[in-house]
Amino acid sequence: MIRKFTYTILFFFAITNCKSQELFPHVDPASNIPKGVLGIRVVNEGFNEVTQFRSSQSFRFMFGITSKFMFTQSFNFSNHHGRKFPSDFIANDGNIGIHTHGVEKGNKYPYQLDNFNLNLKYRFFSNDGTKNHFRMAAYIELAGGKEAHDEAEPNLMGDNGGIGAGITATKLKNRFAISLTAGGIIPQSYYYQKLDSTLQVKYGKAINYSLSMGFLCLPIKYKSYKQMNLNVYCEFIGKAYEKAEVLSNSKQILIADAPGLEAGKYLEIRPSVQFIFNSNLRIDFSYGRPLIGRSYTHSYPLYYFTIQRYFFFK
Amino acid sequence: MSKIRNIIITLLLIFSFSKNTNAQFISAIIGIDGLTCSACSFATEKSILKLIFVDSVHMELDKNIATVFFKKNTPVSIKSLSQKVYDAGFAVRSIHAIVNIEPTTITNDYCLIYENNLYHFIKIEGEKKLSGPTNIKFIGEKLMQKQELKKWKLFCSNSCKSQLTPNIKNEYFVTIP
Repeated sequence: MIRKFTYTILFFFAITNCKSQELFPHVDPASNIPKGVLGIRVVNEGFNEVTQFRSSQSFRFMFGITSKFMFTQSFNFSNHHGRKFPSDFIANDGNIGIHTHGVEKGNKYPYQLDNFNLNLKYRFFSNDGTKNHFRMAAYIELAGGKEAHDEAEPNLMGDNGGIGAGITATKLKNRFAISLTAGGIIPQSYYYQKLDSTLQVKYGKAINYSLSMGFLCLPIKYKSYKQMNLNVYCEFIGKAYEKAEVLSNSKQILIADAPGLEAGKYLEIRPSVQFIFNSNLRIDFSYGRPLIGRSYTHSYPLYYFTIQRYFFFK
Repeated sequence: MSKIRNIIITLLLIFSFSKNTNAQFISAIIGIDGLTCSACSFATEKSILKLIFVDSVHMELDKNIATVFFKKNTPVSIKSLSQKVYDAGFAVRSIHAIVNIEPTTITNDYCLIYENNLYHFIKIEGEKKLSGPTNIKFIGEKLMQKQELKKWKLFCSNSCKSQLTPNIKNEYFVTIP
């Protein structure tokens, strides 16, 4: 599958007069939204988990404050988790004492607001040339949410509250666009208190990394804004994260046979096809699967459908 | 008495090298760097259209060139025009303006005051007669590529500085290509 996709990209690259494209579906480039322009993006993600179809929607409002400074406010909804951990999350048996096996996959949860995420991005370096540029940007994100997230891996775009920051560098030269992002995440702990018992889950700190590439395949020659654009992308996205700690009544308990709560690292491949209509309405279709390791926050394959539009004000 | 004479001499000098010439901006051709997609061009066009003195914009999508047509009898600011390209997230490669100028003869370091802006003509060889639609190239930061600007710095003298009154909003270095 991966080999076929790589060949397809190389084929497009070889036969068409492609220009580079940096409107990556999953990871933002170093470029910003124009000053005074509002962009609205809805990202739909879906995957099957045992008998449940997990669905999440991210509603993102992007605004260019200046040409170099933009913010994105996201509201993330899903049926991934509940607000509380199930009653059997902490177990006690005579052989190993108080412990947790994590949360069983396939539980049914209500569709609800997971978290909000505020992302501020500053483009601090720009070297523009004719049909090429190299840009660098720094971002900081702040997320708030109280989901009973049952994996060590933090996810500020849905499952966790916390802070994150990183750097993106995007190079665009003739036919090739490449973007690298590296950042760190410090998640907020989950804390629940009922009468005299408490439960705290400390999620692992993480580093996130990604490599994105994109090609514009149609039109071969730009003539009008009405021409439909067809872009193909290949993104490699991953994280490395520490193990979680589970504390019952302030005492750390044993994590037994729960790989999702252990430390881990992974890299996913997410190929995408993107259509742009009237130089504004953007529709992306993506597919995701693991290349190295895996994420325990979702099952595979992942399916994405994204729609985005810019709104210009006078 | 000598003070009055100095003032008269200064005024004579100013009027001998500068003129409030009647001119009218017709259009500008902007080469834009960093543009790579039609959505980027579309955003840049929308950004330029926000200016009150802009009548219409035509983008050559494959060449990343914007032709901006100005409204008649509305003061034009080339600085604001350039800023709108930067606001959209891109950079100006070059700006040429087509200006309808009444018959004027210019020499190097000629200073033209028009609509409270000072246009300082540089790298002009001998005398040049301008009349009717004239192509003027703008030189300066955010008006051309940084590397090209370095080559032009040598020609940017201070000889028009004495005419910078509080009414003058901007001094532009320009040349006739």
